[in-house]
Amino acid sequence: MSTPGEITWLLAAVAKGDAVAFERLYGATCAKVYGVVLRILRRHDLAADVMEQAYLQIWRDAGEYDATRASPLAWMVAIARRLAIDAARGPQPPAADSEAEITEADGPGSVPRHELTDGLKQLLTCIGRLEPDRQRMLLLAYYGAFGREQLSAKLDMPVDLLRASLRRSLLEIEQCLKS
Amino acid sequence: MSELDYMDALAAEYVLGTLDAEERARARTLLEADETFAAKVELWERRFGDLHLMVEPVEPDSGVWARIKGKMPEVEQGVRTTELPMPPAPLPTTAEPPSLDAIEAVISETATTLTSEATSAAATLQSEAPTPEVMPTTVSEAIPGPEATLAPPSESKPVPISEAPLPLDATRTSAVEAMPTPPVAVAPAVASPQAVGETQAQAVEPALLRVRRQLGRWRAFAILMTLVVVAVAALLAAWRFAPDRVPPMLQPLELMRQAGVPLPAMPAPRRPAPPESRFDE
Repeated sequence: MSTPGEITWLLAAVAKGDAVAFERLYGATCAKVYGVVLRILRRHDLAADVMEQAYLQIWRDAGEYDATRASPLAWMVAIARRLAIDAARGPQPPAADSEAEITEADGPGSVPRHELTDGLKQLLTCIGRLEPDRQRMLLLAYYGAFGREQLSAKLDMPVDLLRASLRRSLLEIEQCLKS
Repeated sequence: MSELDYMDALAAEYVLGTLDAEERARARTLLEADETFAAKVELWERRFGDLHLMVEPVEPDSGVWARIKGKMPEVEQGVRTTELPMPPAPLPTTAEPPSLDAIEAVISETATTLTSEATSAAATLQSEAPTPEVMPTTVSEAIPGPEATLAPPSESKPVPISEAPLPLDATRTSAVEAMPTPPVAVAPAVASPQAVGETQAQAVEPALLRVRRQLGRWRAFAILMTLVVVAVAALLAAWRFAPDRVPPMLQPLELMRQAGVPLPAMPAPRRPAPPESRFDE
């Protein structure tokens, strides 16, 4: 795994139109990005489409990356996530027979301690202050990018209540992160 | 304070991914048109951004890269304006790709330099200063030890410098003069030392020439010091193995007398302190 510094350097080179740097950037980041995308779309064919769109957008927009605002991987993941959620909400082509839907996992995986950034620690602390039900709801929403309808079915909870609950969680997290 | 306003909630839920298709389309339109909303979205993306660290990486199919690459030329023509050299790292980081190449180059250069050390020293001396040719052979055969300790400072210091693209400013400034050693040292190893050295000398810039001359002086100095060591070693060996054949001038006692050891009344001009203190006890 490359360090954020190396990825930042590669992104800067890509911004200048360096195709070799772009290939290295892809090699250094694709597994992380694909993990996120696949978790949302749960189908390899759809995830591959989104990967293609996402990296072409990264190639175009690399110059817009601002190292003072986000880690380079977080910036790339954000691009891929937007596209993946759009694809998940849009009309989906029927899956081929061989393309079985991947069984979804509820929670996130574990993260090696040395990879815990300060930002992630702070966020996890704030999420940890929510009630357990709302913690699970929030993480399920983020990692699976489920719409409210799907979430309400999964959690067996009326949509209105779910929406109110989600917004309260987001507000509490915002206030916690600001403090 | 007890509720997120509509825009905040929309931005947050857009990032979280819980909007349905219709709301999401509205959010996308706002994202294009409304900078305030775009900033809110970016803020939430930053807040949740590191959650991706907890997702297990999954290696995509190799066909994915092939597809991206296949579409790239179209993008390239639209966007790429100039082919610029690699940008300097915006952050103080070690840039992986260039450093790897540089390290490889340095490794091969070091190998060549080390194996051809004696040859290159002789070659430099030949072209720079008229010193007897016998010396290098004597040096390397008689006493490898001193050679090893004397030569490397001039030989090994330049090696890290040759990776100039790396941001190693401290090293670079500390040994600027020695910089272009690799070409000098490598050339003799490739072909007949003198011929290559001369053609090179005519071709390269004046700065390189100056540095080469300085380098030659250092080599000469190193070899001179080595000769001193050889002489002392020879003397010691003579004392040890053939004391009767050592000329009277070089007998240990005679030397000690000259150094002022047996005559405390006449302090030696060169090194008075050690003999006296030794004698006092």
